[in-house]
Amino acid sequence: MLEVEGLTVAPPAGHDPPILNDVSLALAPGQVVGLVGESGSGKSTLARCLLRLEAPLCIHAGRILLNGRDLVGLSRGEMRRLRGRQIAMVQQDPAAALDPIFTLGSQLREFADTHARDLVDAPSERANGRNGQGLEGRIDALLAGVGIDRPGRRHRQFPHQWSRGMLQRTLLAMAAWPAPPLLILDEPTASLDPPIADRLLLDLQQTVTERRLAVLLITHDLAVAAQVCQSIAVLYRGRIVESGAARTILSNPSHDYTRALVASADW
Amino acid sequence: MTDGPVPPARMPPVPPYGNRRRRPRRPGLVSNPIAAIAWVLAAAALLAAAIGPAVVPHDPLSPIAGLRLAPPSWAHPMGGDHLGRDLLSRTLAGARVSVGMAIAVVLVSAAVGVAIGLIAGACGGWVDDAVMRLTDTFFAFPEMIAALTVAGLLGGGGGHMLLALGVVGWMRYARLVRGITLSVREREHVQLARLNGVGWVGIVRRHLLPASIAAVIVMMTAHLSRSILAISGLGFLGFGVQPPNPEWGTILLEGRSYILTAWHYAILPGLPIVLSALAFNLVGDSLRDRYARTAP
Repeated sequence: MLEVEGLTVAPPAGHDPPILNDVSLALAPGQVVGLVGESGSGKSTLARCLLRLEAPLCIHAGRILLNGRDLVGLSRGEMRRLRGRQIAMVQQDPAAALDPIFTLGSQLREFADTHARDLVDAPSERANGRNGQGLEGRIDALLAGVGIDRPGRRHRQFPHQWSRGMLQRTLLAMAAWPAPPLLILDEPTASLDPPIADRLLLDLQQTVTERRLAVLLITHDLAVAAQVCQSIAVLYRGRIVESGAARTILSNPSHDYTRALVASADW
Repeated sequence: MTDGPVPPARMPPVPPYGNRRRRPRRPGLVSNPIAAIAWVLAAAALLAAAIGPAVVPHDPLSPIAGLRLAPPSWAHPMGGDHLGRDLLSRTLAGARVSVGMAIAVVLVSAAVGVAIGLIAGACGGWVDDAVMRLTDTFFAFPEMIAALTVAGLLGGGGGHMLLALGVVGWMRYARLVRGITLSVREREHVQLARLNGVGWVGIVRRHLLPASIAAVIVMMTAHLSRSILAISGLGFLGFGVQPPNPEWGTILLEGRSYILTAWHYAILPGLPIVLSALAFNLVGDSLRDRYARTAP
């Protein structure tokens, strides 16, 4: 599905060591891979590279294969058509991810219009029985699917009137709506309270099961990684220092950094 | 932490999201008496520009016997001019030019400036540098002198005045919009739009332009009052609308010669200039307090 091979990323003039140094990674459909590492280790840079939004950095070496197609060679226009449809992303702060001057309804509609041909209603949304009523009905079903009551009224509200948990769950549902083969989550729970974060992760597990997405979950929280990831890659100073099944890595870390990470984790 | 993933903590079920508090009301548009007066005066100026020439009590172009330099009276509240024409009628008719032309100047300047600012801010890099140095160059000329030069080269008249004031009016919009664009385009919601495959045109249309609108409207009202002054100034210096057509600055120019013998001729036609400029300035302030203070 997604294979990253020997990805090396640095400023155009080069940098020693590179920001990302010979990074390799593989994801299969239906699999959640955790990318764990401290601040500045290159986690978010890797996510931006996968979307080819690495500027002002440059990809100096390596390949990014999405279903066998190398993203490194694609033109801007080709890449733009992939974003949102083939690779979607959810960012850390849901409140900043939406335009503060438009209602949520208009932003949901705009998203749905942009991706109208690719939208796939999840079984859980179809179960709400509101499908087949055009885009509005499908948006309402999407909102109902993430536990938002009276969606019709909610349409007229602005992002600041929603809680972060509501926004992030909605953003996750939106990102997964066009059923992108690859979904990247950049610290999705970092700004949420623990119970809300927990609920978002349950949403995520349900989405992955329903849609067979491959998910790259970026986090610095090992508890989050332990909860939802089948395998984990540990990024340290731009290098993948350890990767493998989540259970193995968490119970039997081999690299010094991972050991320190596991020891310091707050379960 | 020795054996495998930790099971999710048992949490009580989270109740469905309920209603949240309504937004607190923002201060009203007409929150103090001065703002209220300003809105009324501004509305009057706009109304005069819209229907002024249609409701004049007398013909603004033809003299009335015995009205030459006559002081204000009940029949002619602003008196007569040096040819015996009714000054109230000339002032009302002049609003079409003075205020209407100012609106045209503001709209043209805003359209050009906003477009240039969006291009500079959205493109960045050398385009931004080139466009903003051009803007700086235009800023380097004193506004009134540059307008006088353009109007002087082209000669008087409405279209030339519009061009002259448009040439010197767009730069503030360009700077304002570029600044807003530069900050908004780095915000996460714009980044997210890019992540979703929205192109630059869509981002400009959906995010950058709407984010600039509040500030641009406030700047337009302030610009409107400066344009009224500038148009009257050009008229007063003889570069505006040519006699016998009435225009506030031109009327003042004619009245200037009689300031010692007919005070009303040089004073009363100046009042609408002062009052409308003041009113649009205060309206701009009240709009800013209401909308642009928290604008992105």
